[in-house]
Amino acid sequence: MKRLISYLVLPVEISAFERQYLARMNRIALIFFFCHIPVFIGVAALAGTSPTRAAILTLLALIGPAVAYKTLQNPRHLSVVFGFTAMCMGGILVHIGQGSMQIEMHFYFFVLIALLAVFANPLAIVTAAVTVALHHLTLYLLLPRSVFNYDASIWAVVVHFVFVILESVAACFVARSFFDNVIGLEKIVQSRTNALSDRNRDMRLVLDNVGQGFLTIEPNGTVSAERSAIAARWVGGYVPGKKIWEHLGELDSAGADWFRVAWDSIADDVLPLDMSIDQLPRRWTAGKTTFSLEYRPLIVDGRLTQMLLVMSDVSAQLEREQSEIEQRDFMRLFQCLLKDKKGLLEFFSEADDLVSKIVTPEVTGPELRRLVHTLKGNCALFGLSALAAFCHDLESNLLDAGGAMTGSKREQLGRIWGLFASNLRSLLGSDRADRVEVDQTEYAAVLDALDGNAAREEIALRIKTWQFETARTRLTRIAEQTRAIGSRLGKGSLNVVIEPNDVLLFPESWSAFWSSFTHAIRNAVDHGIESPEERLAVGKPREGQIRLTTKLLDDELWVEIADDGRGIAWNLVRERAAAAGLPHESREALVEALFHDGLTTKGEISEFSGRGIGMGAVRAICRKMGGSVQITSTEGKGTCLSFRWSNVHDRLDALVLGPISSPTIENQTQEAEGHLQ
Amino acid sequence: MVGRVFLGVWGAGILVVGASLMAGHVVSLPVPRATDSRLRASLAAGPGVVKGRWSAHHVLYQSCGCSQRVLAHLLTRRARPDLVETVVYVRDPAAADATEPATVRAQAERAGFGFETSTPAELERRYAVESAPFLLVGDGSGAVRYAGGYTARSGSTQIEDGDIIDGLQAGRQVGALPVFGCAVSSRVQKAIDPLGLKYARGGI
Repeated sequence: MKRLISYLVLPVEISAFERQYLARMNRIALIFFFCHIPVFIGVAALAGTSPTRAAILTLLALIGPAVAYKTLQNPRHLSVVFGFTAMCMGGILVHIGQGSMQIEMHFYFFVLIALLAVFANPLAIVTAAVTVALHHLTLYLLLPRSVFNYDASIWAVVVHFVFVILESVAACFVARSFFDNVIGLEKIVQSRTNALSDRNRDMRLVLDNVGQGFLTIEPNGTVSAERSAIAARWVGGYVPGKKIWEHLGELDSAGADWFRVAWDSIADDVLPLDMSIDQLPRRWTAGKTTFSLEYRPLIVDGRLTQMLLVMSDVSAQLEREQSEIEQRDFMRLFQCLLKDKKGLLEFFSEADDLVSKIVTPEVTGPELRRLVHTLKGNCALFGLSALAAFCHDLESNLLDAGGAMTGSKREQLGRIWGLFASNLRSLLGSDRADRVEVDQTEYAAVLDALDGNAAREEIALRIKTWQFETARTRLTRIAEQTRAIGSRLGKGSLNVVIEPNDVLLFPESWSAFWSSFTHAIRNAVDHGIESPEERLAVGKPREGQIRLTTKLLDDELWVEIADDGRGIAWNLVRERAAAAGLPHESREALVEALFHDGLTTKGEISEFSGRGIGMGAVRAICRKMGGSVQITSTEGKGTCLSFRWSNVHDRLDALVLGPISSPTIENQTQEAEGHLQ
Repeated sequence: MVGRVFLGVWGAGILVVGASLMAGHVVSLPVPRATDSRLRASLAAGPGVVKGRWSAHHVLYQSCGCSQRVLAHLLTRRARPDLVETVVYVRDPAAADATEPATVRAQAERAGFGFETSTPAELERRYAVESAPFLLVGDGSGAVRYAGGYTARSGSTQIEDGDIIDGLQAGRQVGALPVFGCAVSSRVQKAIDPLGLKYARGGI
């Protein structure tokens, strides 16, 4: 019963479309019924009944719908009135159409019940059916016999009843279907639109309350109106036709052109979409805020229809990461201090010198790039990730900016270095580098020499060498760093062999060289040594070997680094040299090309190598110190890089220390092979 | 609110009016019993009635559509030669057209019918008839052989007087058909039209 009622009674809401439709239909219905007046007068005249009576009765029946039309606000109610009126009109027609056609006049009822379906309201039909029922009930109350006229049986009445019911049921079905599928369609659409709006609102609520900002970008770069609240806060509200790079340019104008150019490649649709997207910036800075940018292409039928830009404020994350890196770096610094304080202090001294040069505005171009590259390499060797990463970004900026560094970057570097220096000083306390440390063996040897009356000059020279650094110490430090690099680059554990040959080096003279020697180390590990799998595949031992050698031959100091890696791919060097417009016909030309800034055989740039700067940097220092570089390399066998300086005896910045010519210390130096040269 | 109340009143009123009007069409009107002496007397009193001949009296009412259709039927088929047929035309005192009976008389007589006029009161007094159209058939012996209506159903165009007479003359038992038409006497009019919509003066 409940279902039947809900089927017959329409939902309370009336859509604008239904209201408009019913208003029109009700107007037509009123006109239709008023048109009955002349028709009924004519019927009465033809049937020989009273036309006047027909007119009066019809007007009487029309009073109701006319009043309803003027007073009822709900168009459905008016339709119901028309359902009642229709049956009244039928009654009048039968009354005035008496005679030979009187029976046929009853068709009117069935036609009108069917026509009522145009109101798409089952209640109008039910009303008509109920009107007929009430009419007969009234008839029965007035004259019981009249219902069963001509002494008809109850079954005759039932037959009439069944036909009316059958048609009413069918008409109700038609009306309801009409409502559900046509009139109500707009309502259904509206309902679904509302549901979608609700979902959109909910989704919007979610989007507006997450930390990310969402923007949609048209293929021509125009930012659509849809955007999450946080995105609107970051890049501003919707401005018709405004491009994404214009929005972002208001945050930081520096990258706007880059963005536009990169976006053009998407709009041009020449490159693969993924490749074009890779050209777009991933980070955007606005003052102290850094945003990460993610791009999600929305593809329909294989074509880019929109690009979803997901912006995230990663400032806090970066700060946290930076803080963690600094913390980690500080721990490494502490470990270095415990392990090799002298080496760390030397690094600090060298790096401090590098930084002071880098922040000098006059230093530009290739020299600046080499300095930054060297600083990066040394920081990486000591595991100072934050500084190394900053130098890496700095190198990228230098390349983009044509070798010039902005004042803000200089300030930033100075700030970061200052923080590092501060940390180091806090660790060192008063334990500074401006003192001489002597191990007990050396101290005892000199003491014995004094006791044994050794020559004063000899003892003095010996004491002077206390400020020297043994090559063993330096090479040991470098060996450890080399192993660390190998591990970080996935080259497995490296077998690093040192051959110091008792060489002593005056630190201040050689610090610049050792500083840039890191490039040679990183090249050997990153370019030379194969991965363990590659080595095994070509029949080499799993562990790559790097040999570090210092030696004094006559008056010439040699520093060598040799690896048993893949050797230099000369064909590739030739190819790259040719591409760079460099001479490449002879082996000498190719060796020269190796030292050219920017030439590299590596496909990817890493924290350690790949920019093609290091070799040039180390040779430049070597030459500046009066030395030369030789490269010997055999593909598949390995590479040896040999740095040589002659006349070191005169400069007194490199020597091999022999035993003091005193009987008491003669046997105490284990690795000395000769006298001071 | 006023509009809705008005609509309610209007709807109820229309229903009653409709039912009242419809009742007049579908109700079978009262007929006198065949044994009523007034009927027997009237059978012998008609114009041209001859003892021993079958006779038929067609009681028709001036303001009754059904009576008019029967009249048209009679004029079309003309009077039968095998019996004496008389049109008893009951004038409507409220009818505007006072000349109509004369016209009808001329038509009826041309068609071979005897013709006499009456009033509702006279009709009841002489024939004991209060509704029309009413058919009264006698076999000439003074006995009433048929007293009833012309059609089996309300509004039917199948006027069965010929079959009725044929059947009676053939000696068959013919049941009286109900009278569908109009009340003639004020008593019956009040009974079937208590609201006075149809039969009252100026009624609809």
